[in-house]
Amino acid sequence: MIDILTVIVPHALMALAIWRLTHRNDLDDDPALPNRRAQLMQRQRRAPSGGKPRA
Amino acid sequence: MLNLFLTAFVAGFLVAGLRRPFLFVLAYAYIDIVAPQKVTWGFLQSVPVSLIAFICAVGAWLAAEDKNGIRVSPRQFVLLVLLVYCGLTTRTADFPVEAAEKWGWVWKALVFAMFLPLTLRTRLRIESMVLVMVLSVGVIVIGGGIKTLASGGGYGELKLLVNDNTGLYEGSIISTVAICVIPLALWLAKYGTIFKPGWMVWLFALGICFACLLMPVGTQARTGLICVAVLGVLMLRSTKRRGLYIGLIAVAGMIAVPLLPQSFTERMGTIRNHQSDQSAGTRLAVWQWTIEFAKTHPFGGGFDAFRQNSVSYDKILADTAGDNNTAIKTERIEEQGRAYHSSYFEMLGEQGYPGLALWLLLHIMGVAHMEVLRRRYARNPPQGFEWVTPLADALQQAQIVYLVGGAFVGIAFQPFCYMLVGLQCGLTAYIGRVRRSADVPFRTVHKAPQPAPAP
Repeated sequence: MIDILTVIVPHALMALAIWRLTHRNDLDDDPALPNRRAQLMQRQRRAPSGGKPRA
Repeated sequence: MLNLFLTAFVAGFLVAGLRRPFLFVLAYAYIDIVAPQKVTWGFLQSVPVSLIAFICAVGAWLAAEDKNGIRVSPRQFVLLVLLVYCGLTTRTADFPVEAAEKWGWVWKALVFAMFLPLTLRTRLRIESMVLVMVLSVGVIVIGGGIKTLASGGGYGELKLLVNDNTGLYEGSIISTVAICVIPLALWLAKYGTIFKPGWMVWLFALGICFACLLMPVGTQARTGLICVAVLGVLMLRSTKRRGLYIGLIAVAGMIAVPLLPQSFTERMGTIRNHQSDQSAGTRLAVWQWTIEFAKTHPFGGGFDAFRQNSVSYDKILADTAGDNNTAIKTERIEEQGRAYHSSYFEMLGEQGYPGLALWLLLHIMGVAHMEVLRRRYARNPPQGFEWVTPLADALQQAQIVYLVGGAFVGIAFQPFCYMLVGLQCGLTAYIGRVRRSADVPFRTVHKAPQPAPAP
């Protein structure tokens, strides 16, 4: 019984933490650091107008 | 039922990693600490889950992670040198088969410690790593704490989740690691964002800390008691209300001491009287043997070199006959192939002077780096970075407890301790990136007082 309790409580909390982490954007992009993904997307958006015309 | 639950949990963890690759890193840390394949007897035992998580973590990082701004820290370089050096000593080990077996898990611990800082790119990742480490140790200590409260435990008698006396499930090792976890659990309760500070979070964190404190009582490992004392002194340094802290410790001590099992107080009493204790006597004899061994083997004997030792010493026996009459007798003890029971002597015997020097350098640099971070942001931290000094403090405390506890337990290559090293490197690297990317000075600028306006 004690072993089941000691397994279930921390695992349930870890499962909840994993669930929350999958929904947090700051897991991959820290707000205190420049957002490289956003910069890259901005550059890609600008590229069609500024880039060389395709044949 | 437990088998199904743990199998589903591990599978779910790995599936979550497909959505967020960093979760593979957390999955590996969890598997390395809890060893769910040991807890169950079913599917998990037949699959190398640790290796799968490790490959997934490294593969996902190589394929999908942002590697911009990554710099290899001097400590990662020291880890690399230690890894290569240990690989070389394994090739020439005195016990090749046993050495190869230990090398099989040591290399993974060292590589993961080098790899972890590369993945800790955000504050949330650092926090989540701390959380998984604390909850994973919680899987072991919560049950251990409840059993200690119920039965009082006993030396070699406390049955943890896994009863095979290896890894973190060994009494002295879990006593040391549990005390290392206390400052990290308190940091999470105060600065966590996954589970935000609140009465429920504080209640659970204090419960974990209490369970951790019970581990030295339950396992009756003297090392654990020393670690508790060291942590108590270290926390005195970082607490603001020192008088209140000392008062609370004194009151808690007065309440706890009468409740401690008699077997515990008797065993702790042998710390002062080591000559009559066989365990302590063997340690001293093995340490003396190791010093002599290193004179003829300055590059060590490879992993598990202790198997060739043969020690003998006199154990003092006191027979009290009453009326202040005590007969002192000595008994000759002879033992062979006894383990080092000290991380320092483990390094010296197995890896020689160069290995010991590298290991000491790794940890001394860690304590120093955390001290630099701790002081840098202690006063007027930039907005949103109030958590840095307390985390550096907690990691430093955990490492010092490990270094003191490691003097009496052979945990020089314990993977959990290398996760602490990886976390420290990750925190230092993260703060470095933030400082480099800041447009404005990364400090609160004190404005000079404005002159009073002219009337």
